[in-house]
Amino acid sequence: MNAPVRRSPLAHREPLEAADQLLRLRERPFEAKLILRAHAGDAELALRAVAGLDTPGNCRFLDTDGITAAWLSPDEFLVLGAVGKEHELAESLASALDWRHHQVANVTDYYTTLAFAGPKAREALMKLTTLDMHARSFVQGDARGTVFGHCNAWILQRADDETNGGPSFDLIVRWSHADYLFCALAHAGREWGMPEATPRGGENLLA
Amino acid sequence: MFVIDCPHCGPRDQAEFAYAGEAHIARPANADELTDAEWAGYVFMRRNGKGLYAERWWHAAGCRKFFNMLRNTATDQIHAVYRIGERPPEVKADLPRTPSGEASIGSGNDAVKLVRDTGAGDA
Repeated sequence: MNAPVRRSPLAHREPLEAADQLLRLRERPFEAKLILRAHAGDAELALRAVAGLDTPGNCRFLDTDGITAAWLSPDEFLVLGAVGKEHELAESLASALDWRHHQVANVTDYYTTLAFAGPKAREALMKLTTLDMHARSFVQGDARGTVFGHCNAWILQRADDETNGGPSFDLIVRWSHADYLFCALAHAGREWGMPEATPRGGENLLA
Repeated sequence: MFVIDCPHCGPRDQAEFAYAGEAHIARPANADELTDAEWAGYVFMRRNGKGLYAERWWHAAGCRKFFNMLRNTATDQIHAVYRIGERPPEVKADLPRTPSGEASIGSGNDAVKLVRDTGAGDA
């Protein structure tokens, strides 16, 4: 019998880079991901107890000590943590909420994280989404769910535009859409020298 | 394509939303006493009017919440967006003038319309 091996959805993909580091795309697999559903007041209580975080405002995220809390909807938050921390995080959130009406779902292996960064990352994302990605309306600390090409994803802006090496974005995408989105991002960056990548499933790439 | 102002997420492209039918249709409390016709009125019959229309929308790609919208079905102008459970605000929608002097509601050819009292459906 084979030993169990944890396999990420993009295990077959190498990180991609455009010329002069204008774009950098890689997967950050296995990071802890939890969906916390609770009334906003209760969620605040739990996030404060577990991570010392306030509740993020609408379409925003907050982070500290490797734990990120992103607003998904008025009663739904995405809690992100380091690799292997999901059970510990889930337990502490659940115990902080105790008898309060809530749900903590471990979605670590349901989603994966694509890290997309570089001075041209914003322009490349603009090709894939109808979301207003202009630096004026999407800034560091913003977290939004929208459609990229053919698939849904959550996007978080980690580093702001003044950062050396350009802004950086995390895209939280469903496991089965990850390969498509990876290739779509590579395709969107082709004018800055991103290598071509063809989706395994043969999906048509937009842009 | 037009922009819809989600009450939770702010302005987003229409592609992120899904239409979810007419708003403010209450499920009859006395479901077991209704006739089939009355039940069908609740399930299927919709006003489907021309002009101001209260409808539900679903922000499928964003916050995944339902909300209500007052839309002018003749011009696609969105007059108001409000949350589930709130009363529709008072607004006035003007229908576009047409050369044929169309009636304000429906096709204008009311003489051939099958008029049927659907009971609970129009509540």
